[in-house]
Amino acid sequence: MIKNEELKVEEYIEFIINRIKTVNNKINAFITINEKPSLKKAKELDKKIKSGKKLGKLIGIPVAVKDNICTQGIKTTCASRMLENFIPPYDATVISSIKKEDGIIIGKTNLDEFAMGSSTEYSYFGATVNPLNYKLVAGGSSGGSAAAVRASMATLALGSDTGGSVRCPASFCSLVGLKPTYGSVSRYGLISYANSLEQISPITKDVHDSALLFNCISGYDPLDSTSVNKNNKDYKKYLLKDINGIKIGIVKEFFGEGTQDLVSKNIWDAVFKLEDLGAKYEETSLPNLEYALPSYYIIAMSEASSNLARYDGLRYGFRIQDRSYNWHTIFSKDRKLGFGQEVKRRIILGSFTLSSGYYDEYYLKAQKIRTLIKKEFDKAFAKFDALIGPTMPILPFKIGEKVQNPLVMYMCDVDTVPANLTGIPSISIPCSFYNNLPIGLQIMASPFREDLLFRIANTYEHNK
Amino acid sequence: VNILKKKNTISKKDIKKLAWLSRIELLAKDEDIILKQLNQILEYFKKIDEIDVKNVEPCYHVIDLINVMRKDKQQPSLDKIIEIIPQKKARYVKSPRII
Repeated sequence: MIKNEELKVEEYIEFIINRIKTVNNKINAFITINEKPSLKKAKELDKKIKSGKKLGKLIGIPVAVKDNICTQGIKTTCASRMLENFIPPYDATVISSIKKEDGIIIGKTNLDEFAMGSSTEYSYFGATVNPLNYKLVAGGSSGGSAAAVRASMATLALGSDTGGSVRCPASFCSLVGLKPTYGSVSRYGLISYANSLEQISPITKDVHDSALLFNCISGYDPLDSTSVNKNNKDYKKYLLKDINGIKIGIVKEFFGEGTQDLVSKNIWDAVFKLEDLGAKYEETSLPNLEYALPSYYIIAMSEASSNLARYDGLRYGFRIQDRSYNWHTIFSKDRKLGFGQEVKRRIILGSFTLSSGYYDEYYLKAQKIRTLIKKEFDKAFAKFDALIGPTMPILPFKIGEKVQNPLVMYMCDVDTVPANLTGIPSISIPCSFYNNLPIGLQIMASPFREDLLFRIANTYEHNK
Repeated sequence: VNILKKKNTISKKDIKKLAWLSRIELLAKDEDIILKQLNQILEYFKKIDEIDVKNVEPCYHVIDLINVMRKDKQQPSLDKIIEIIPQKKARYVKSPRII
């Protein structure tokens, strides 16, 4: 419509901004609305369309961006008091890519502080509410991005996935969340929490949009030393409606203790559906998966304690005004007031697991378990094209239900962390509803086989 | 230096040390809550004691990292970083006393 000039970009963006202004006070998806620059950009794009110049792939599309991804001139808070007034002097590479494709950064979305959480309740700016049911959490940590897309306040969104932070809210808000292969999307400008695990990831309404956004943000970036130089595919080519002969492994451990029966049942119904559509399935077991969750948390907390050491309040961020203290005391006081409870827990426990005498027992051991889990996945992918399980073991839960009990909150990530530990790509797509509550289907493939994920996901989406 | 006495639970004394190592001042009222929570989490982490990892190499990164080198040529600098320093004098960061 925009390309045919039936609708002006400016009109559309005005509509979206009005929508955000009406809805956001109920949902709390956005921390910052990028109103004026978006309207200005919309006018420029209308001129560009009129001029007949070549248009980008995201022409006039409003994109919501998680507030731990740096945007030049737009506040990037990480939902933390520590960065409440931080305005980055540069754009993350993914932001430059979206701008290059004529997309519009419509606003910055809420998250668990520094992406540490599974419900978007641990935010300095308050919890995000699930647009499907205001009593429920949106999932996390990229809950604001998911809620923004679900409530039509943005067409596409970016989150980051460290242990399920994009797939969980996608599942809880009935959306598509893709955690790409580690190294396929540049992390330059993503504020680090656990850098060996995390990837910037698209959250979208359907599989087509996921492939479109992934096309735009993936690729080699010399500014990220873990970026992988691979020839990029056009992933839209893999939006097929055919999975004839595809071999799928159903991972037993994904249906273990803690998984609600009705979740298991709905996922199995999806498996039978995929079989009807031509896929072949077989049950399989990856026994070391039972160690994935504790290993993940040990590694994530250890990396967090190191990554977040940079917040000293000196060069940027929160700094107390008192001048009478010495260096270390000021540093400790800045961090006392600047960080929330969950961030403090993870930094302190990460200091413990990295400390002399405990390093071997926790951090090093977790990294060795990671090797074993990776080997099990390699073996499984020698036999199967894709592995399937639920994204979340439970249905979306009530706001406030788990927030006082961190360990119970961590348990929610049991099915999503294996993809981060091993670097493999994983997608969560809407599977079905139970009592109006969404259940997400998780599909995993071997590294750099996002094409398979899109193929299976697209086939399922069109035949549900 | 082995700062913490080797054991698998954190004591009130340890939490003060860990908080200091982490440069996070804890409020006295928060110490007990955080202590209880951290010990619950550590108890759960003991799960990994069950598995034998003898002769297994650690996996620090899932992809084979290669050193990234670039030409020793000046790149555009981020002059604006000076503007966001909370307390400064001219172009310098104003820090608290170190000693």
